Amino acid sequence: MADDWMQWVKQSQRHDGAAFALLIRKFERTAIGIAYACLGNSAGAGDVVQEGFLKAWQQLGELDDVKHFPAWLCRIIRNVAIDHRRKIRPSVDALRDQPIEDTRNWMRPGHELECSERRAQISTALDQLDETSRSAVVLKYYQSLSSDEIGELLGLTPAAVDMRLSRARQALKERLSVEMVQD
Amino acid sequence: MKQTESEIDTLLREHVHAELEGLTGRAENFFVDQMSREATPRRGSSKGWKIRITATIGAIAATLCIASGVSAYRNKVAVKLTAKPMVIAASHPVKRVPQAEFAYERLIAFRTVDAGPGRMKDSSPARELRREVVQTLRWYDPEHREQMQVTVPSEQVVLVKMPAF
Repeated sequence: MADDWMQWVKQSQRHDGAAFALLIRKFERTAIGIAYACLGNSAGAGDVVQEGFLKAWQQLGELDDVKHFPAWLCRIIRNVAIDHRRKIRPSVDALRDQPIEDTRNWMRPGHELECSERRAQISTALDQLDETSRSAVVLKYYQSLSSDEIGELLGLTPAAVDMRLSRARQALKERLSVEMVQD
Repeated sequence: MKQTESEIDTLLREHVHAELEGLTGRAENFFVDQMSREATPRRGSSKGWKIRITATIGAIAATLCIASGVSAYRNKVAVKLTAKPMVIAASHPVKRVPQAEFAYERLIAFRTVDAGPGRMKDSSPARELRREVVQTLRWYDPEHREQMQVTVPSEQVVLVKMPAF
C-alpha cells in the first residue's frame, strides 16, 4: 500500500493520466511545501505547483528509477519556483493583485491585529533562514514528515535534517523573542 | 519573553497551515483540465490548409508592398528634415523632475456597538456606544521596491446622556 505510488509512476510513464492524477493527490502537499519554502510566500505557490506537475508529466520519461520520483519532483518544483521568483518582482501592480486583508470581519480588532502581526513576524523569521532549512521546517510542520523522509526529498542525511531543524528552531526562537521584546 | 520548544512548534505548525490553507486540489484540477484539452481532436482539412497558405502568401505580399512604400516615404521625409534643421535653445536650465509613483490603498472598516446602559461622570444614566475603527494604509515604495502597510485599530466610547425619571 505504501509503495502504491511507485506503481502509479510506472503507469504514468506509460501515459496513464489517471495514475498521474493520483500521484498529484499524493505529493501535492509536499510540492506546495517546497514551492512555499522557495518563494518565501504562499501567493505564487499554487501556480508553481500546477506548472511543476505539468512539467513532471512531460518529462516523466527521463526518470530512470521510479523510487526517486519524490526527490525528482521536488527538484522540478524548485526550478519552476526559482523561475517564477525571477519573473515576479515586487511592483506597484502587487497592490492591485493582493487586496488588503478585509478587516470588516474582525470581531476583536486588537486581538486580530496582534495575530496578524505575529504571522508577519514568523514569516520574517522564516525568510531569514536559508532555503534548505526553510524547506525542512515547512515539510516538518506542514506534513509532519520524519527526518528520514525530509532527507530523501532534500538529498540530506537524517542527521543533517535534524541538525538543520534544530538550528532553525533555535534561530526562530531567538528572532521571535527579540522581536517580541522590541514590541 | 522566552518561548519553549513546544510553543515554537505550535506557532510554526499553525503558521504554515494558515499560510498554505486552500492551495490543495488546484494542481489536480489543472492537470485534468490540460489533459482534456489535449484529448480534444483538432479540426483541420485540406481545404482549410489551402486557404491558410493562400492567406499567408497574400499577407507576406501586402507586408512587402507596405514596407517598400514606408521606406520611400521615410527617404523623402529625411531629405526634407535635413534641408532645414531647426534648433530650439532652452532659455533657462531645465531640471529633470523624477516621476513620482506613489500608489496607495486605504481601507477603513468601522462599526458602532451599543454596549448598553452606562453612567456619565456625574453618575447620571447614559447609553454607552463603542465605535471601533480599523484603518489600514498600504503603499508601494518604488525606490526600495517594497510594500509597506500600517494597520491602526482604535476604539472610541461615546456616552449619550439619557433623561432620568
